[in-house]
Amino acid sequence: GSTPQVRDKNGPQLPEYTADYKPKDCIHKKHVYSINELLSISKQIPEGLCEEIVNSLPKKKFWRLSRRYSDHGNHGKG
Amino acid sequence: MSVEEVSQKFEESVAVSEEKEPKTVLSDSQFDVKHPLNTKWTLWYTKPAVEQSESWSDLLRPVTSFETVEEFWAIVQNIPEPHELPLKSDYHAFRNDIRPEWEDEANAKGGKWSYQVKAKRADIDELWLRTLLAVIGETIDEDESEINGVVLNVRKGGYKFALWTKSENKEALCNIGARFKQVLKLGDDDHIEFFPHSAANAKHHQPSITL
Repeated sequence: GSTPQVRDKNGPQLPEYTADYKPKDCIHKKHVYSINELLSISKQIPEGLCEEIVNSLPKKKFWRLSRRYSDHGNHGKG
Repeated sequence: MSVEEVSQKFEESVAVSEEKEPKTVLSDSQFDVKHPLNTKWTLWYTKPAVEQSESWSDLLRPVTSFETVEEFWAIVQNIPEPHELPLKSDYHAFRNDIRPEWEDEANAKGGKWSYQVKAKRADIDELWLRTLLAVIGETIDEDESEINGVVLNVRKGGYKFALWTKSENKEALCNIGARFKQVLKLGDDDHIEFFPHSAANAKHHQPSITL
């Protein structure tokens, strides 16, 4: 069957973007994964890799999760 | 620590000995085969300021880099989720060593698709994850890559999502914008806006495209 098309009234007509969507005929990109493919890989992470990653990440205080922001204007970037 | 230092530190910690035979799922339960991404990505974080003396460069920090899907998941599963982040913090994920600043030469001729989720949304973590997966999986970008990175801003008015592009190629931008709306589950009455970086310092920064 044909791929469902979606038309945003302000935009181009494209194939419907779903969690299984992968573009066809990629010439310049070797590694393309749908959202569902990426999610399925999340269930296969080697334990040793997780440990290495956790050790390389910043400690909890880096994130300043409990900090209230200082209201001294915009940083102006991003 | 610079992006290069973070990348090198990370590569040293996960280097696999060339003398070892790669273990596949058939030979060992702890198989080493990983799923490579199309490019290296670097995760950055903007800390919320706690002192007036802190500059932008003090607050914007590279966190880590990743080149495989497995590394991505190990990182995402061990960093704060968007709903846990403090106000005035940001997440940025950019290709290679591109800095999440419009002055970086890779960004300077492009702009950003932007959408703000105004109210407290129960699915904010899901929307951010969908956006990240769409970007690193290359399903939202054009075949000739336009997207440099993706940004999440945590603000009092809500969460702002942005896709940063390398150019203002209108056809490519409209394709990407249309997919972005679907990734964010937006309807016809929701609009995303494209802001060129070249006008970032203008008094009233107007979008050049609205979808």
